[in-house]
Order: sequence, then C-alpha cells, then structure tokens
Amino acid sequence: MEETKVLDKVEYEEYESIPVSFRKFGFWVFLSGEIVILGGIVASGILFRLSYPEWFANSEHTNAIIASINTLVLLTGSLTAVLAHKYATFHDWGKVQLFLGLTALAGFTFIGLKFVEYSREIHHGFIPTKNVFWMFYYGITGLHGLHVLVGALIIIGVMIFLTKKKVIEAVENAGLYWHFVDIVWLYIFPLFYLT
Amino acid sequence: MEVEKEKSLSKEEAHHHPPYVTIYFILVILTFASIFISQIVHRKHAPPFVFAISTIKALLIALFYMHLKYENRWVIALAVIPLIIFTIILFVFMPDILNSIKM
Repeated sequence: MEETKVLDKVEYEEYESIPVSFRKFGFWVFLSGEIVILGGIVASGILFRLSYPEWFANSEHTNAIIASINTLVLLTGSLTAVLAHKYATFHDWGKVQLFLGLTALAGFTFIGLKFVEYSREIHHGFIPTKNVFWMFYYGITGLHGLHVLVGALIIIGVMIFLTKKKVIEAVENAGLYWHFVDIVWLYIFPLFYLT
Repeated sequence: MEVEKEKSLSKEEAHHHPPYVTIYFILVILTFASIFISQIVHRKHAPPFVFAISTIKALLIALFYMHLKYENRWVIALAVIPLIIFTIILFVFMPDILNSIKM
C-alpha cells in the first residue's frame, strides 16, 4: 500500500517535469509514428521516381488541375484549423465551431474531388495494375485520402465534444493532425502531378 | 481549477499567434510558383525545384501553424527524432537507388 503511494508520487513528479500538457505530448507521440510511416511511404515514392525513367511520361496523365485545386482546399483547411485554435485560446467558441466546420468541409471537398479524379483516370484505363507508377499513385494518394477522411471525422468528433466540454487542446490536436496530413500532401502533389 | 488553468493558457498562447492569413497567402503563392516551374522546366528536371518549394511550405506550416517555433524542447524532439530516423532510412536505401539509375 505504502509502496503504491510512493510510486504514484514519482509518476506525478515525472509528469510535472515535462513542461507540456499530457494531452498534447501524447498526441505528438502519435504524430511521430505517423511521420515515420507516411513519410517513409512518400519517400519510397520519391526515391523510386529517381530510378524509374518512365515516371514523368506516366505523370503527364494525372489531373494537375484537380490536384492544384485540392492543394488550395487543404491549405485553406489548414488556415481554418489554426484560426479555430486561435479563437479557442480567446474562448470564442462560436467562431471555433465555425472554423472547425469549414475545415471539415475542406476535408470532404478534397475527398469528393479525389473521387472525380479517380473515376476519370479509371475511365481512361489508368488502373493500379497498369504499371508501377499507377500502383504507387493509387497506393499513396489512397492512403493519404484515408487520412484526410479520418481528419475530417476527427474534427466533426471534436465539434460534438465541444458542445459538452470546452477543451482548447482538443481543438489544437485536431488541427495538428490536419496540418500533418497537409504537409504530406505538399510532397505527394509534386511527386505525382508536377514531375 | 481547470477553467483557471485554461484561462492562463489562453493568455500565454495569445502571444503566440503569428499572422496566419499572411502565411496562408505565402503558401498559396508558393503553390502557384511550383506549378509555374513545372510548366517551364521539363518534368524530368523539375524535382529539385518543386520539392525545395514543398520543403519551404512544409516548414512554414510546421513552424507557424503547428506552432513548433514556440513549442518547448520535448515537443520539438518528438517532431525531429522521427525525421532523423526517416533520413537515416533514406540514406540506407540510397545506394540501391543510385545503382539502379546507373543500370
């Protein structure tokens, strides 16, 4: 019994020695794993692009216009996510809900445009089994799209949570996830659409 | 207690709000710059330019939107350590990639 109490005290002191909130620290641990996983997958695509001479001949068939619009959609989502966090620190919860809603909308717009893009490419015969480029293309953009969808759902979850409890870090962590997904897209966009 | 903690947090964090809208416009301009470069430079030679622009954009988002510029060492370490691991992995695979280019 005594021993348990001492251990609890030690754990508490260790926690206090890290000058960052438990929620934010935990979320960054999760993001660290995501950086290695998604970063590794995208880097494998970039490295493969260097060794595959036919890459740019295939990438000419991807839709750079839709992808450019999607880039702007994700960047706008990042702006609204960070504005939601800003207004959360000012306790202006009405604006927080508005900007989170706009961020979720950006996520669903991205997914909608991605479906349009995929359907056009499949219609023209560019399916994942066509060659290695298209395998990478569907694999990486599909995995990223799944992350955007999860990000939009997390934001909706946070919006519902905020109606019950006002926690700034919930807004911040949802935004962090969104920004991370945005950064990954910043490398996917030139890899498949511009080079 | 928790409300007081959050109020003090908001006062501290209020000082760390860079001009988000200005940064957004810089990101948009950089996006158009990378599209423009990919149009004037052949796709084969475009990667160094467009990936350099992507890296500038990623840094802007990480530093200002993810607030890494203002975070403490623990959070910065959690962002940087996976990048170091990831860079090591890249260099491990680099010889294979370079060999396949020669072939």
